[in-house]
Amino acid sequence: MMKSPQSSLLFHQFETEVAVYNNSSGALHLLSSLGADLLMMIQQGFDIPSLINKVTANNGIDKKEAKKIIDEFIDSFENFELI
Amino acid sequence: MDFFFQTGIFRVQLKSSLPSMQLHFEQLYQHYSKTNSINFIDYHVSVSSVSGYRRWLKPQIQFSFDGYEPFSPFPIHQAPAFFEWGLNWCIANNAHQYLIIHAAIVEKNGVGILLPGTPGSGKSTLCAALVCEGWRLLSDEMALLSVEDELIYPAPRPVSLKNQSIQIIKQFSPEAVFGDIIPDTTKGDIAYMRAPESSVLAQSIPVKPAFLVFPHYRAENEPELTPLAKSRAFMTLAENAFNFNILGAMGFEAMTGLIDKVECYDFSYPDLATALNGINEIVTKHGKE
Repeated sequence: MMKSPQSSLLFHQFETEVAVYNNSSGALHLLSSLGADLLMMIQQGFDIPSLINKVTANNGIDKKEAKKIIDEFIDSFENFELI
Repeated sequence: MDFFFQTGIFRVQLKSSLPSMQLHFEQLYQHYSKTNSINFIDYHVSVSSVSGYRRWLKPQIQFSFDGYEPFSPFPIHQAPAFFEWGLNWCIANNAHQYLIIHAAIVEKNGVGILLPGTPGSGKSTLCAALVCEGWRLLSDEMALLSVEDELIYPAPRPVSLKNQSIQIIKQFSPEAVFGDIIPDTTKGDIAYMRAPESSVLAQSIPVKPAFLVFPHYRAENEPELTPLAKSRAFMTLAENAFNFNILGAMGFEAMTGLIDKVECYDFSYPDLATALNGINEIVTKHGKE
């Protein structure tokens, strides 16, 4: 189990997906490994270019597409009050 | 009249003057250690008649726990079911040293199988059949996962069967001992099957679960045993835990630890014989029987 350094989120990797528990709200989420990595990076204060590098490094997509993916993740994280 | 018994670590004192409760204990609790010589009791409960004019028209009973009445009265003929449900409520709301999962749990040769189930999944029927086949009953209703050592602790009590399942198990195992059928409950007709004496005698021995099997009874379908992704099993099991959020991080840690250690399956079956074959297949395939 990993604990996010700046929040009450707990992470646990299951094969290709990650369970995330919000200890403040009691909500439970299931994220892709990429989504969980991005969430942890955001929690740790990484900037958008670092997130883009993370997405492009492992997925063979360009920076514009990566930015779009990140924006969608950030929207979801905000909607679920993970960030 | 006072009835004392111990199930797993729980010591229970029931006060009731109802003849149906006396019969329930005589039929189904005769193998339990009677704890009346022990001072400490975990749950003081009572099942008693409701007073007032209504008792002459439509007799009702009330369940109380330490003097608190958590439920509305029930019809008097449902007293044994009301007691069993009430005791489930007591454990689910108080035993937070465990992550309490809505699941049956059985064990044979050291192999524990956890059977979570929604209503209609056939969980209790499958559990009863496995118990009749020599599996040890830990519980047909609540798996008690210790947050300390991640073992599942027993609290064997009579197995609750509903409607057609009663006759199915009576035919499957004619030697099984049943209490009287309790008709017209909110869950339909209910009958309790006595827990085997061997399960009661072993009620202090915890189990390390090896398999998590989600049963789905579907009369019209072919049997299908499908490995289940651990992430999906985790999410479903968390929904089936009574006190996941009360335990918070401890509950998350206990449940992720459990899921990491077990093999997970979805199991659709059309009848009991197929179900038992499927369970044996799971266990045999992995060389654990």
